[in-house]
Amino acid sequence: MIFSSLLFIFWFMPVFFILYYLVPMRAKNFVLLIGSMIFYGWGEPKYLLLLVISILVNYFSGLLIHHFRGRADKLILICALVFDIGMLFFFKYINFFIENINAFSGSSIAKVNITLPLGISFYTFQIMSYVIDLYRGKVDVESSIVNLGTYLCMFPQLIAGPIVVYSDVSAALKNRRITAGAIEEGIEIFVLGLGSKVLIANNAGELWKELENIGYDNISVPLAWLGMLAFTLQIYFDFNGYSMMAIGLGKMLGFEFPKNFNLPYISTSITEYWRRWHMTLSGWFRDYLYIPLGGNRKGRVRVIINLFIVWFVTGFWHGADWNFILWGLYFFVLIMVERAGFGRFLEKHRIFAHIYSLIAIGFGWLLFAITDLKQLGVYISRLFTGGISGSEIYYIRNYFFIIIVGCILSSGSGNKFYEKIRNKRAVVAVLLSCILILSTAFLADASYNPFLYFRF
Amino acid sequence: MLEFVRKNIFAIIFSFMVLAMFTGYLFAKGGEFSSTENRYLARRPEITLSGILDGSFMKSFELYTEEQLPLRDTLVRLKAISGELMLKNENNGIARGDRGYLFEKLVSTSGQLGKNKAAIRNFAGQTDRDISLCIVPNSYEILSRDTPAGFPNVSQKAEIDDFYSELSSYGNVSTVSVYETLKENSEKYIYYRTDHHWTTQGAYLGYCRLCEAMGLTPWKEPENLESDRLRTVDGFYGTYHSKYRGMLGGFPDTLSYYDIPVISYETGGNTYHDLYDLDKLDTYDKYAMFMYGNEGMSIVESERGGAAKKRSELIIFKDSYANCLIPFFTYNYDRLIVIDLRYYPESVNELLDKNKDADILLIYNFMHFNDDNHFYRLTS
Repeated sequence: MIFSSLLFIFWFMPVFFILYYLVPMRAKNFVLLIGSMIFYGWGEPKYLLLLVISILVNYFSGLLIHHFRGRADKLILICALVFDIGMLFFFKYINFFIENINAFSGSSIAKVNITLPLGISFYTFQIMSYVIDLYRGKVDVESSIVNLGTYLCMFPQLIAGPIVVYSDVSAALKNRRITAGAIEEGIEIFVLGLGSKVLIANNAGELWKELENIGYDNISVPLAWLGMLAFTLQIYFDFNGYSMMAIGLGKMLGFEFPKNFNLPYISTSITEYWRRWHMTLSGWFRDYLYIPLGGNRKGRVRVIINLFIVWFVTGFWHGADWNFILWGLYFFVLIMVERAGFGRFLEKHRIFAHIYSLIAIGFGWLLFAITDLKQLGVYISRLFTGGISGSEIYYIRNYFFIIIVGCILSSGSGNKFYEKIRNKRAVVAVLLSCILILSTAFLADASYNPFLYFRF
Repeated sequence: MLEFVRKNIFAIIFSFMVLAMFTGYLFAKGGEFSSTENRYLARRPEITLSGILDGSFMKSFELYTEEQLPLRDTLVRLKAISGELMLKNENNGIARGDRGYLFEKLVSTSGQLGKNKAAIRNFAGQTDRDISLCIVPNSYEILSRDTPAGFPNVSQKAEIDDFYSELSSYGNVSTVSVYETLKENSEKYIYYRTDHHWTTQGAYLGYCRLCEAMGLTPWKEPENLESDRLRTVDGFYGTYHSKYRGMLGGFPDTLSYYDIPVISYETGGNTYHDLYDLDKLDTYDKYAMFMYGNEGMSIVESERGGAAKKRSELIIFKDSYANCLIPFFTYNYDRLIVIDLRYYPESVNELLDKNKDADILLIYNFMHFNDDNHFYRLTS
C-alpha cells in the first residue's frame, strides 16, 4: 500500500486509527504491528514472511548479544549483520552480479526470478541500527518481540523512510503520550506531504514521463533542460512528500521521527546539499559506516578512501545498476573537489555557488533517472546539441505553472508562509482542506501516480 | 471547548471528511454503468482466503476504491478544471485546440506499428487478389490549424506515406490516400470535436476518394447538403470529452446519418432491416448507432434497381472509423461482408476462399493501425 492512494486515506486510515485510539496503551503496539503487516502485505503478501524472519533473527540476536555480553557478542553481531546484509544482497543485488559476471566472463549463469521486496533497503538499515547499537551498549536489549516488531515494520517509515534508528524511538515504543495537539500537527504535516506528492511531484513528473515517450533522440535543447528541471522537482516533492506523510503519521501515532529533508535545493555546495537531502540516510552512513571505518581521524589518504567507500555504497544502495554507482561516485568527485579548495571559492561567490549547485544536482538526477548508460549519453548530448523543435512552447505552456510553484516552494518560501499563517486557524483549515480535496481529485483521476522508491 | 476546536480545527475537518468518504463507500451499491466511461464500474469484492493468498482480492479491492469513490465524477471534473486554471490545455492525453476541438496526443508511434505493417505485407504477399488499403489520418493531422501551439504529435502523413511506399512493390495492393481530399476540406465539419471518429461528412469524402481509386461511381446525394435523406442529432459528447472533462474545450457535436435502405443486415446474431441502432442515440455513446456497433462479422444485403455499374461483393476489414462510411458502399455492392479483426477469431483465408470474387478493402484509422494488436489474424 502507499500513502498517496484512496485505499490508504479512505479505508486504511479510518479503520486503523479508530482501532488504535480506542485500545489501551499496552495494546497499541500490537494493533500497530498487525496494522503494519496488513499495510505491508497488501501489495505482496509473500514478502511479509521475509519481514517476519528478519524480526525473529534480529530479536534473538539481540537477546544473545545481551546474554553473552563480553564473551561472544561480537560473533553474534557479525552473524546477524551477515544475515541482514545477505538478505539485502540476495534480494536486491543478486541479478546485478549475475548479469555482470556473465557479461565479463562469458558464462551464462541463470538469473534468479525475484522481485525486490518493498522497502527492504530501508528496513534492513533500520534493524541493523538496533543490533549494532545494542552491541555498542548505546541501547538496551528489547525483550518484547512485539515492541521490536513494531519498531521494524511500523507502517509510516517502513517502505520509504525516513530511516528511523532504534535509539530514536526506543523510549516511545515502551510508553508514549498521544495528545490532541500532536494529532493535529501530524494531520497537517500528512496533508501537506500528500499535496506535495500528488499535486506537485506527479504533475511535474508527467513531463519527465513524456520525454521518455518522445524518445531522448528527439528532444530539443530547451526540452532537455526543462525535463531535467521537472525531474529535479519531481523527485524532491515525491520523496519529501512521502517523508512528510510518514512524519505526520508518526506524530498521529505518538512518535517523533527525525526530519529527512531541509530545503536541499537552497544549498550552495554539494557538501551542503548532502547535509540537507535525505538526512536520515546520510546520518546512517555516517554513524554505521564512515565513523567505524575511521572517519577523518586516520590521516588524509584514509579519509579519501573512506569517503570513496561511503559514496560508492550510497550510490549502490539506491539501486542495483551501474548508473547508481556512477551517481554516487559523481558526488564523491564533486565533494573531493570542494574539499580541495573549490568550497572556499564557493563561499565567496554565493550566486555562482547556487547556480553551480543546482546544475550539479540536476545533472546528478539525470545519472540517477536514466539507467541505460547509452540513453544517458544521448540525453546529455541533447542538452547542448538538441536544437529547437517548436514543440517547447506546448510543454512550457502546460508545465510552467507547476514548475514555478515547485521552484518557489523548494526555495523555502512555502515553509515561511506556512509558519506565518500557522496561528490563523481558519486560514490553515481552508488551505489544507483545499489541498486534501484537490489531492483526492487528482487521485480519483490518477492516470499517473508512480512510486519512485521501489528500487531502493 | 471552543479553544480546543480552534486549536485542532483541521484534525476535526480531516476526520469528518475521511469518515464521510468511508461511510459513502460503505453505502454505495456499486456495479453500476458509467455512461461517460462506457463500462461497468467495479463492485466491492468478496473476501476469500484464496483471493488474499494470490493477491487478487487486494487488486480488485484497490480497483473498487478507485471506481466507487464517492463523488468520483465531480472530483474527476474538479481535477480537469483545476488543470485549466493552471493554464494547461491538456488532460489525460487529450489536448484542447481552437474552435472547441479536442485532440489526442501521440508523441511517438508504438512498437506495435511495425508488427501491423508486417502483418499487412504478409497478407498482401500470400494472395494474388487485388487489395485496396486506406489508412485514414486522425483529426489533429488534418485540422492542424486548430491544434494547440507547438503540438508535439508525430506526423501521420509521413508515417502513412512511408508505409504506402513500402507497399508499392506489391502489384496487387492499391493504396488510397485520403489526406489530400480531407485537407482541402479542413474548414468543413469533417471530424468530431469531442470524439475520435470522423463525421459522416468526413467519411463521405473518404468514400468518394475510395470510389475513384476502386473504379466505382459514388453515390452523389450527400453532395446536396439539403438531402431529405439526412438526419441529424445534437448534443453528442464523445470519447475525447470523457477523457478531457474540462470547462473550456469540447463543444458538443452534431451527429448525422443518411437514411439508407437495405434488404437485410446481419450482425451479432441478429438480422435487421436498417443499418442504424437508433436506440443508441439516447445514450452517451451515440456513435455506436452506426452499423449497430462493432461485431466480428456483419453482412449487408442491398439491391437498388437501376443503380449504375453495381458489383456483387466487397469484403471490408475495418475498425469503428468505417462504421459511418460503410452505408455508402451499399450503392456500389449487392453484398458487403464487414470484418472487425478484434472480434473475428476465425480463419480469414477460409473466408476469402469462400468468396472468391469479392473485392477486398482494408480501411483503418491511424491510431488504431498504430496500436491494435489483432492484425496478425489477417493471415490466419
